[in-house]
Amino acid sequence: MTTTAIHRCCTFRVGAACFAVPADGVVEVLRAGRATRVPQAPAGVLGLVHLRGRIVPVIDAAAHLGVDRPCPERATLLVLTLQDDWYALVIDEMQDIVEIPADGIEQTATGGEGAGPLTGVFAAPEQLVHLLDPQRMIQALTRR
Amino acid sequence: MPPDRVLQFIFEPGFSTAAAVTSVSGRGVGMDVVRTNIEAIGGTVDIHSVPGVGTTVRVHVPLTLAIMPALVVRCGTERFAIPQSAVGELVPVSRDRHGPRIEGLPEAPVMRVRGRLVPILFLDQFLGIRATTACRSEGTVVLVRVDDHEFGLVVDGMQSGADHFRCRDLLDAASLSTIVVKPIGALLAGLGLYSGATVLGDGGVVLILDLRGLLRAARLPPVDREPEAVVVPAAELADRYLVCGTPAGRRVAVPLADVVRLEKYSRQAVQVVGERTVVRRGDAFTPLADVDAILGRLAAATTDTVSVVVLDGDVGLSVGTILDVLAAESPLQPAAAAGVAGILSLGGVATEVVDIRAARRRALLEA
Repeated sequence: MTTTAIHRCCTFRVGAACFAVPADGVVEVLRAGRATRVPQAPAGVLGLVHLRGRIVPVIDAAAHLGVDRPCPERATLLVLTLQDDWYALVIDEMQDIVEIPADGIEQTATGGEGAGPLTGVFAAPEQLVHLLDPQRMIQALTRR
Repeated sequence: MPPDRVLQFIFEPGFSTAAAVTSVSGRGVGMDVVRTNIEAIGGTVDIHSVPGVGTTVRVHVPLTLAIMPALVVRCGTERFAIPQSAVGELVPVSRDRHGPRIEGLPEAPVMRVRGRLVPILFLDQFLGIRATTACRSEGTVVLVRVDDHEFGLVVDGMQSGADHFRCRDLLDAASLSTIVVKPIGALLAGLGLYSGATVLGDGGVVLILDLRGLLRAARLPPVDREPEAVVVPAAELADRYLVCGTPAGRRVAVPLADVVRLEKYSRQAVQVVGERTVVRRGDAFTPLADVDAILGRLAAATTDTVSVVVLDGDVGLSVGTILDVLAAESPLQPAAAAGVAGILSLGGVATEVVDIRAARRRALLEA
């Protein structure tokens, strides 16, 4: 039997789809308060919230994951850390922490070089889990 | 080893005096984490302990947070902070023909400020907070200076156009706070419009405007600034006096430090209500004291217009004519006369200095 690398991931739901981000990049999950709007901000940036002394941009996950759903009023925020900055993703529901073996991940058409923030898909017993690379997602935001 | 050195051991990783170790305590981690974190922000922690008496733990944390005074303005539903160091003045604008107003073409609005033409930027329009079709003519202009540029930012202000003298409305539109500057992260700093954000006392997050960035993004033309007005240091201001002539023909002086503004009113604007004299300014009334009355003389002839020296605390002093602003040439010599604070030499002439407190008392009818 061969041992394969295991990714510990947090899974969450946006719309009807399930996504996963690496668990070690997750700071916390909390209920959203009122965000301060940032005029001229890139599309998908909903505003800023104050979180433990930091000012954190709130990003609508749906806008970047190809999910068509209105942004919920009182949403759940998934706070990620990325190169010392924090980002809060608006998600619909937090699900679980799962361990995904590296050889179980299928590279999707949108994955690979250059393209969108999704790097692959994993077939969990009950649903498909899309792997999300937060860094690519933020980079996509700054490019616009 | 001295006792203080021994005490330092509790900050060492893995040092424990616990007899038993559990999964959460006794592993010698806690104080190491405390010291590491305090030192990471440039602070120190030291400990002093006397057996049977007590233990003192002193934590020194440096005040390195970027703190600055800022003007918080309202614009639509949003609030923004403007670094106070860049703010020159606040000018309420209205449709009133006589007051300051925004002129020029809709694409290049300007405002006249003491002979200069200052370009104007509508903050709501520029940031896309509100779609404004026409050049708005009401609001508050925050005149800011950045490097060699001066420009006016229009933010929301006055509710009604007429009472643009009332400071209360200005304070409504804007308030001064001391804010802690927090970074907004690479994602939004890249916009070049905001230099950071802050959390106000009410818990709201407010963006700090990057004025240089705004200037760059708006491509405002530079203003040919006139030579800087001579700024009179406060210490010197105390020695300068406004010299006036009274209707009864006396020459008096008012300390310039007490003068807020000089205004001229028609005789009709001055009204006598009971024992008090007031002058109507917009919707507000300013209590007025006649300079001759303070000095114990009856007012002589009445003229068509009244010159009013507005003093601190919104009290007016009606004088005959305003002559000059002069520096004192001699120390103030006390005088016994009523309503006179003293006598000094101004422009080579001995001049009586009006007792401001007496003027205020008379205007407010205080005993």
